[in-house]
Amino acid sequence: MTKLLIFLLLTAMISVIHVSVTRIEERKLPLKKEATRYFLSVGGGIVILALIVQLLSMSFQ
Amino acid sequence: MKQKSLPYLAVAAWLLPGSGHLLSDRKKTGLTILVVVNLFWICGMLLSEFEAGSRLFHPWLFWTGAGCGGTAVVSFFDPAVQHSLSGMQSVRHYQDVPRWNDLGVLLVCIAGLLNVLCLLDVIDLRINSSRRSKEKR
Repeated sequence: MTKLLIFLLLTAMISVIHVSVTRIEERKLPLKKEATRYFLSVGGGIVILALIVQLLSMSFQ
Repeated sequence: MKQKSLPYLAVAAWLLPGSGHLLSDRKKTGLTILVVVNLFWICGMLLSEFEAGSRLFHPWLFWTGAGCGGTAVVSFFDPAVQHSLSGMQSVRHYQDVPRWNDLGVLLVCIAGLLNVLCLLDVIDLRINSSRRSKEKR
C-alpha cells in the first residue's frame, strides 16, 4: 500500500510538471484540470496494467 | 523587463532546474519546477548515496540523470567511487549496497528527463516570444 501511495504521489508530481511545460497554447482547459486528466490516465493505466499482470501471475501459480 | 540571452537561460535551466523559467518571468511554473525536480534530484542522490551520479556504477543511466546539471557536477567529483570494489574484493554483505539505491537512481533519472522537457520549454519560450506574451504568467 505504501508503494502504491508513493507511486501515485510521484505520478501526480510528474503530471503537474509535464503538463505545465508541454501545454499547447490552443488548449482551453485550465492547468489543474489538464494535470488531473493526465494523472488519471497515466496513473490509472499503469495500475490497471499492474492488476492484469498480478492476476495473470496468480492464475499461473 | 530585458530578455536574457538564450545560452544564459539554457545553462541556468540546466544547472538549476526551474531557474530558466524564473528568469523568463514565469514565476509560478518556475517555482513548481524548482521545488519538484530538485526534490526528486536531492532525494535520489541521498537515497543512492551519490551512486546515481557515478559514471562508474551507472554508465548508461547516468546520461538520463545528466538532464540536471547537478548530476554532471557530482560525476566530476564522484563521491560514490569509494564504494567500488577493486581487485579480488567482492560484496560480503548485501547491506553494503544502499537500501533504497534503485529508487534513488530512478528518482534522479526522472528528474533528469523532466528537466530536459523544462529546458526545451525555456528554449521554446525564448525563441517564440509571441507564445510568451499570449500565455498567462
